Amino acid sequence: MIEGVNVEFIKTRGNGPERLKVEMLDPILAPSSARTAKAPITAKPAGMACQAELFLGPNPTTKSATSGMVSFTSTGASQDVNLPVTMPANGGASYHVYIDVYAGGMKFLSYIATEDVVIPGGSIGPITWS
Amino acid sequence: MPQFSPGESKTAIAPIVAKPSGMDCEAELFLGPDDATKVGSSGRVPFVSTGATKNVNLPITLPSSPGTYHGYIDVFAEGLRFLAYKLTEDVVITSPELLLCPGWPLTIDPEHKVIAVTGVGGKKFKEVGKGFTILFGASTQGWNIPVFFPDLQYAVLTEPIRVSKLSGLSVAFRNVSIYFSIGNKGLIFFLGYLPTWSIDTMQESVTQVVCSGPPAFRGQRVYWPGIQGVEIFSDTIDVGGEYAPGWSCPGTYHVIFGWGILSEYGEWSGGERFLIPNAVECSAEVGPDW
Repeated sequence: MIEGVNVEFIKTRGNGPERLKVEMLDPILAPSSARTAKAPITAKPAGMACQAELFLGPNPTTKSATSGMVSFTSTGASQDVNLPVTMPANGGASYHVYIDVYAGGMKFLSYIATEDVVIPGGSIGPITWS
Repeated sequence: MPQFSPGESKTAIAPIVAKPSGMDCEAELFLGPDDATKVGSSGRVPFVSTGATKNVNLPITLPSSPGTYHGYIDVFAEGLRFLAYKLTEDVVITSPELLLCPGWPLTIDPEHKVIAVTGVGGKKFKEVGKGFTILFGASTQGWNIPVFFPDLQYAVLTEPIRVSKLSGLSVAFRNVSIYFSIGNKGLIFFLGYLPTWSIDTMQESVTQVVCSGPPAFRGQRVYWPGIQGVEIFSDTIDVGGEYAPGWSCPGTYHVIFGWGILSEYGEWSGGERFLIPNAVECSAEVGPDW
């Protein structure tokens, strides 16, 4: 099942809705936890062999975690595409979240989440008593 | 391993690094036999992560039962536990024990649940710790041994005294008073029994007891159970008859002493009492030289 809250993505490239509400990731996630985002993607025209990818990273070219290319066939209308991703193993950082959509290997839609995902990390030193 | 008294309130200071900065976090310290059983807990203490080490105070009331407990610290970010640590040293909860005479051999009398100081006779001044001195001893030459303190008018206890409960015994014999402060409360710690004594004004942190007259005391070698509270013995201890002031009866004597909190109105509260059996021998029918 899909878990999490609705996160808004804004378009950075291509023709499509300006914003997507993706039911997906909580803003704070455990390292190496597996989550699935459900992205309502509108790809036109119908019948195209498409792929979508959700990835996390500090920028659009660095992928700290990715769903990989998830295939679907466009319907010309909004359709939910499930994008499973495993969070980075290293905690202590926040990541931008991106969704790219391809048709025939060409990226024609790009979105970025309006809210970063945070993977907390840290340590606890020796305690003292008072 | 850290050792504490049952029910004691302590604060663990945990240096926590939580990244990234700006997260709403919570930390919890808990004690238990395992990480699923919480015998004592600080509850969740909120803090905001800074990305660097931050000392987080985790107050906890320790378990009331003596024993050894594992300690755990969990850290949460918006409800997600992302740090779970176990203390490298267990926490030990010990029953209070007498630390009054650290240089003296101590044994525990399991029947009467008291701390016994072994060894009798010939002991005089015994400096037992910082800031105060306890007088013990017996002498056929009399008891003209002054109460001795450091230069301070008031003796300040710098280490806590933990005492065990008393099951009950009777004898008090000496006009020695030890006074000290613990925290912000004034406590009187007295050894022996003073038939007449005055209480100086209780200050915020110090209580003083002054002997106001020559002591008269009675000694018995009788087990007298059922003593409750902190009492000032009457001139007559209705066991075995009366005695003239001072030592007039050779034999082995016990010592009973305790501590309590005395208000400026002369009202006692709290405190505990304990026993030193066979603490003194008097070998001659000679009264003390006051």
